[in-house]
Amino acid sequence: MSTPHLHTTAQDVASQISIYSGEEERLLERADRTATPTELVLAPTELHRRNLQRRLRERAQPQNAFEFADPETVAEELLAATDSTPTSLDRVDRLALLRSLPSEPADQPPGLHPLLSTQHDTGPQQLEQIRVELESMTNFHPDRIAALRDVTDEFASPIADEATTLVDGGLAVETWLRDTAKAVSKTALLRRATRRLDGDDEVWTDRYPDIERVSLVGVSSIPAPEVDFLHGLCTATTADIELYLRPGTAEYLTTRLPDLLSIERPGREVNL
Amino acid sequence: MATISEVRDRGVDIRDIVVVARDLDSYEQPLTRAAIQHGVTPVFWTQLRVTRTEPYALIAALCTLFACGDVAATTLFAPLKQRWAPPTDAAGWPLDQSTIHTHLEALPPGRRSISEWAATIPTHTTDERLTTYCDWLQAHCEPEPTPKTVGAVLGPSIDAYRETSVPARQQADAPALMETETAARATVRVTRLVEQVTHKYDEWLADGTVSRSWDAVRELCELLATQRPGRREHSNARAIDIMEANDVWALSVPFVIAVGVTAAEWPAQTDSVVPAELQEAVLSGAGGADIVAPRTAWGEGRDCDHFADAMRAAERGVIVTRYTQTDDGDDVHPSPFLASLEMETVSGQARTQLVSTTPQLPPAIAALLPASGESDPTPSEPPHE
Repeated sequence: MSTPHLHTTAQDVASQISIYSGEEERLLERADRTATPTELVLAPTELHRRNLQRRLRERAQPQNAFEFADPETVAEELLAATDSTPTSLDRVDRLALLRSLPSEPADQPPGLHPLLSTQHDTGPQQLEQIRVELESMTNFHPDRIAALRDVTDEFASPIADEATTLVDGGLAVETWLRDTAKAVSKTALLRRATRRLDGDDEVWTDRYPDIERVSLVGVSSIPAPEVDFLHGLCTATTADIELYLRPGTAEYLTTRLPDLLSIERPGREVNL
Repeated sequence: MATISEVRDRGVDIRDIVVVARDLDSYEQPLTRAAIQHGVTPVFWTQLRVTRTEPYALIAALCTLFACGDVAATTLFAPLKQRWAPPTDAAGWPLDQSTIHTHLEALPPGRRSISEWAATIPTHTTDERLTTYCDWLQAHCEPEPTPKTVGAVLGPSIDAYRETSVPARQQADAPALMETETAARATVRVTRLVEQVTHKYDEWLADGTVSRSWDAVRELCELLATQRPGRREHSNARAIDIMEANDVWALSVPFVIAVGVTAAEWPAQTDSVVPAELQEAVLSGAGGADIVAPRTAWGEGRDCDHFADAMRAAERGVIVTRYTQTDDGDDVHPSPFLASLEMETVSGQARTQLVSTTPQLPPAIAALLPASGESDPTPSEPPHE
C-alpha cells in the first residue's frame, strides 16, 4: 500500500508528508556518495538503524548520504546550539525521585491522592508508566488533555473516575518530577525542540543545512510527542518528510494522522 | 536448533538465518540450552538496557562522586539511593529511600569534599550507617585511580549489591517479582561490565588513550555498557542471531525461523495502565478523541506489524514453529496470523527424524535450500561490522 500524500484540512502542514508502507527499498535506493548527509533517517528503534546499515553494506552501497539518529538525539542536537548541553533525568533517576514521594497523604501532591488511595499497590514503576502513557497520548498539550477529559467525562461513573484519576495522576507525577534543574525526560527535550521549530527560528537550518529529506522509519505507532515534532519540522523546514510505516498499522495510522497533526502550537504544555 | 544445525551442515551460512520470537524473555533459556546441545552459538539481541538499571546507576554514581572534587549532598548520597551496601557487616542495609530523604533534608546546602562531609555529617545526624559509608568513601577516594583501585571500588560494591540489596528488594517487591528479576539479571551483566571496564582501563592507560581519572572510568562504563554484547568479537560472526520481532524491521536474510507462533503469544495483550474503555475511545478517534494519539499495541495492530515484517525479512523461506500444549497439558492453538500464509506442514514423523540420533532435514525444509552447486543469490556479509 502506498499513500503518496496525506490529505488533511491543514494542507500547509501535511502536504509535506508522504506515507509509505513496507517500501524501505525506496529509501535505500537513495544511497549516494555525498560530501555531507542529505537524508536524515529517524529510527526510534536502535536495531532498525543497524538493519538498514546492514542492507546498504551487503549491497556495497555508500552510507554517507544518510545520517541515522533517533528523534530525541536530533532534539538534543537542535537544543545544544543554544542551551548549553541540555540534560534530562533518565528512568533510574525518575524512579528514585518517585520513591521519595511522602508516605503521609497530607504531604502528597493533591493530584496523586486518588491514585495512591484507591490502588494501594501503586509503586514508582506504575506511576512512571501512567506518566509515560499520558505523555504518549497527549504530549501534555492543553487541547489534547482537554479532549481526553471530555472523553472520560462521558463514561459511566466507575470508569469515568478511574480515567480521571489516571489523567490527574499522570500530570501530578510529571509535576513532581519537574522539581529538578534537569528536564524530566528526553521526551521533554523533544517537546522543547518542537517549540523551537514551531517558533520559526533558524535552529533547524543552522544545524541541518544540507538535509533535503527527513524519514521516520519502522514505527507501529506515532506517539503525540513524535507527531508534534513532525509538525514542528513541517514549520521549520521545506525538506520532504517521509513516514515508513508497517503493513499491519499503516492504513490505520494514515487515517488518524491528519487530525493528530491539526492541533495548534505543537509542543505547548498544559499549565501544571 | 536441530533445523539450524542441519541446514548449516548443508552449507547455509549461519549469518543467513535469523530466529525470531515475539518476546525473547521466555525463550532465552530454552533456546540457549537447545543451541548448546546442537553445537550452535546463540546471540540474543535483548532489550535489557543495562544503563537504565539500578546496579549500573550505582557504579555510575560512584564514578561521578569520585570524579568531582567538591560535591553537593545529593551527589554524595546518590550511591546510597541506588542501594549501596558495605562489603561486610551489612545488617540494616541498604538504607531505605525515605531515610535517605530525611538525612538529605537535615544536611546543610553547599558543596564539600568527601572528607569535609565526613566531618560535617555526624554533627547533623546520629545514623551510624552514614559514618560507615563516609569511612568507606574516604578509604577509596583517589582522584587518579589505578585499575586496581577501580576494581576495589566497583567490584565489592556490585558484590554487596548482589548479596544485600537484591534480597532486600525481593522482600519489598510485588508478587510478580519483576523488579527483583530485572535487578538480578542486571547485576550479572554489571558484574561482567566491571571486569571489562577494569581490564580496558588498564589497556587504555598503558597505550595512553586516557589518563587516570574517574571521568574516564565512567565514560568507559557507558561505552562498554551500550555496546551490544559480543557483536564486535570475531567468534560471534559465526553465531546465530536471535531477535525480537519488532527489531527485525527492514532486515533481509535468506531464512527466518519464527518460534512460539501460537494464539497465546502472537498476538498477546500488552500491559497498559489505561482502562480498556478509554483505549477503545482513543483508538476509534471518534469525536474529540481524534486529536489524542493512540497506541496500536492496545489492539492487535502492533503484533500484526511485527509478524508481517518478520515474514517479509525472509528472502528464501520461513520456518514457523509452535508448541501445541502447555506444561499442564492444555491445548494451545496456532496464531491467527498464520491463517494468511500458505504453508506446508512438516509431519510428526519428519520432526521425530529431525531430532533423532541420525537427523534428517524434513523434505519441505530441504526444498527451501539452494540446490547443491547452485550459487547463493545473495552476497554474504563480511564477518566484521
